[in-house]
Amino acid sequence: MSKGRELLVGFVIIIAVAVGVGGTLWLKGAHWGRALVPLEILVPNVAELTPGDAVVFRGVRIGRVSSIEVEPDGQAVRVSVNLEKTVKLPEDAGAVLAPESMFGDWQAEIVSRSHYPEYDFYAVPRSASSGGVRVVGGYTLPELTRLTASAEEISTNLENLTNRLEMAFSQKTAQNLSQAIDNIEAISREIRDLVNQESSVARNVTANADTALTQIEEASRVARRSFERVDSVLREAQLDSIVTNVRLATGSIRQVSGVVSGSSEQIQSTLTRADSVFARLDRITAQLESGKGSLGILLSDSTFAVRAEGVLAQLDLLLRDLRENPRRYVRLSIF
Amino acid sequence: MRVSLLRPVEAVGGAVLSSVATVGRAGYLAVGAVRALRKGSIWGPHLLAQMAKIGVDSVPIAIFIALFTGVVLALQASYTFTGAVPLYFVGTLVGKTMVLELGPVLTGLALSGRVGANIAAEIGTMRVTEQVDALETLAYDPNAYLVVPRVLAGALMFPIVVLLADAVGVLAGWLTSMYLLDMSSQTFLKGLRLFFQPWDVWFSVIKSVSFGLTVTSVGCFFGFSTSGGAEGVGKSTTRSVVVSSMIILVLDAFWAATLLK
Repeated sequence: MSKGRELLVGFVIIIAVAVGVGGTLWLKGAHWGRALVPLEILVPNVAELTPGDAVVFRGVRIGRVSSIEVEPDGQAVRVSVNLEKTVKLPEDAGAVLAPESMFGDWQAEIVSRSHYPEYDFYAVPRSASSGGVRVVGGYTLPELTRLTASAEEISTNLENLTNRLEMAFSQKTAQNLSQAIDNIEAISREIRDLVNQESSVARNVTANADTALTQIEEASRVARRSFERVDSVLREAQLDSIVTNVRLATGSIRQVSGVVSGSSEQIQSTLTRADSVFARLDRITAQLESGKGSLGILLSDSTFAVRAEGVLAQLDLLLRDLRENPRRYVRLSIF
Repeated sequence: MRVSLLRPVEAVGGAVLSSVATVGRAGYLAVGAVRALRKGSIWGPHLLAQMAKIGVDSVPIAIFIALFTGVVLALQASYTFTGAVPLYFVGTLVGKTMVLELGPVLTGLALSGRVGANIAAEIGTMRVTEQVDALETLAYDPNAYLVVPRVLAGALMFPIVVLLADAVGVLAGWLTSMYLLDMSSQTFLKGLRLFFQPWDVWFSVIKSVSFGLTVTSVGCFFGFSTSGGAEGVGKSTTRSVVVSSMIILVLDAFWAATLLK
């Protein structure tokens, strides 16, 4: 085998190993040659945090979790992380362990405790250190599975509540409820009708009141005018002349009464004459009815009337003939 | 009538006996190869040549396959994720898929055709031309001379080739995302790093070692089992490729079931 061939084999192997190892370290974010500062975090539990997960400060990745161990007393978990040396952490630093995304990867975020007073950080003195390594308290946000478990518990409770409600809410209850709703509906309908009715009445009353007010206003206006006139009359002293005129009118009426009294005497004599005339007429009428005298005979005997009718008919014929043949009866002769 | 009724039974019996005989010959070869490991003076000088032949010469085809696999993975991932999943998952999918699955399996399948067929044809030809018998006559252990260097070279070089294929596949996906999908390099790397675990690389190496052992062992077995002249060589070559490909896929499932729990 030639040297070149051997060299090629060695070259390929070295490249492949370098690619594999270098690529792995690069993808895991290894820091070659850069100084790292260790930091330890004490938390009650670490949830899904694993070695190699990111350590973030103000949103920037500044290190990685190097190891996770349970404390000997079993009261906490010690998370060892390596941070870039150039980063200065706050005095009241704490660590919040939380999911980095919705896809399961976690991270440890270094925060100032004062910014998160609602988080129950693991109690660690501010200046605590372990072997020269600073120790901070941590708080672990509930992981998704815990939230899911809580949601499941809530749903179970809701289911129990629903079952109880279902037991309490029997068919009879439903019927009563339905009846109550019907009653409420009827009452509301009645109230609505009543309101409509009262509204109509109120409208009429309002209209009447409006009319009355108008009339009162008109009356007051008339009264005002009357009062004004009275006032004017009183003011202009016309009342005396009116009284005088009334007195004169009364005197004139008294005179007219005297004249009328005189005339009544004349009327009495006229009536007496009329009575005698009527008595005469009664006697004449009685004679006519008894058929006495010429006029009575004429009225009681129909022969006269028949003859008179015949005469009238002949007279009518004569007039007609005269109208048709005037020369038969009238002759004009000049000479 | 009686003969025709017994024929299926004879066929079943023959198949079982043939399978058992095959397993027995494979076991005999494996035991012989393990014993031959002690004879370093015989296989040692040939190891480097086989590493070059099996590994280095296979790098171009492995890189070619990985290159286009990475491109297609990135494009298909982008096509799948657009509008529903953040695009940085293209990097996640390309990295995970190349390292865990497609890098080792596609390389193994490709090399089963190139390397396994080569070994089966080479040793089969030596078998039918009685060169293997000549080795035995010269007191050379055929296992030490022919099997051990090839199997060792396969076990050593398959991971090398697969690592390069993985890297090229991821790089191809990265470049595709940047220049064809208008993704930033940071976006792709974010997804690539999001779920990356060093164990993924070890998983890939373990699988490729098993594939290398499989391809070379099967090639050697069918080479030694060759009979019937040139036609037998051809059959051995075909069987070697088919069987080694099937075993690769079975091993792929086996490793996924056992190592990715």
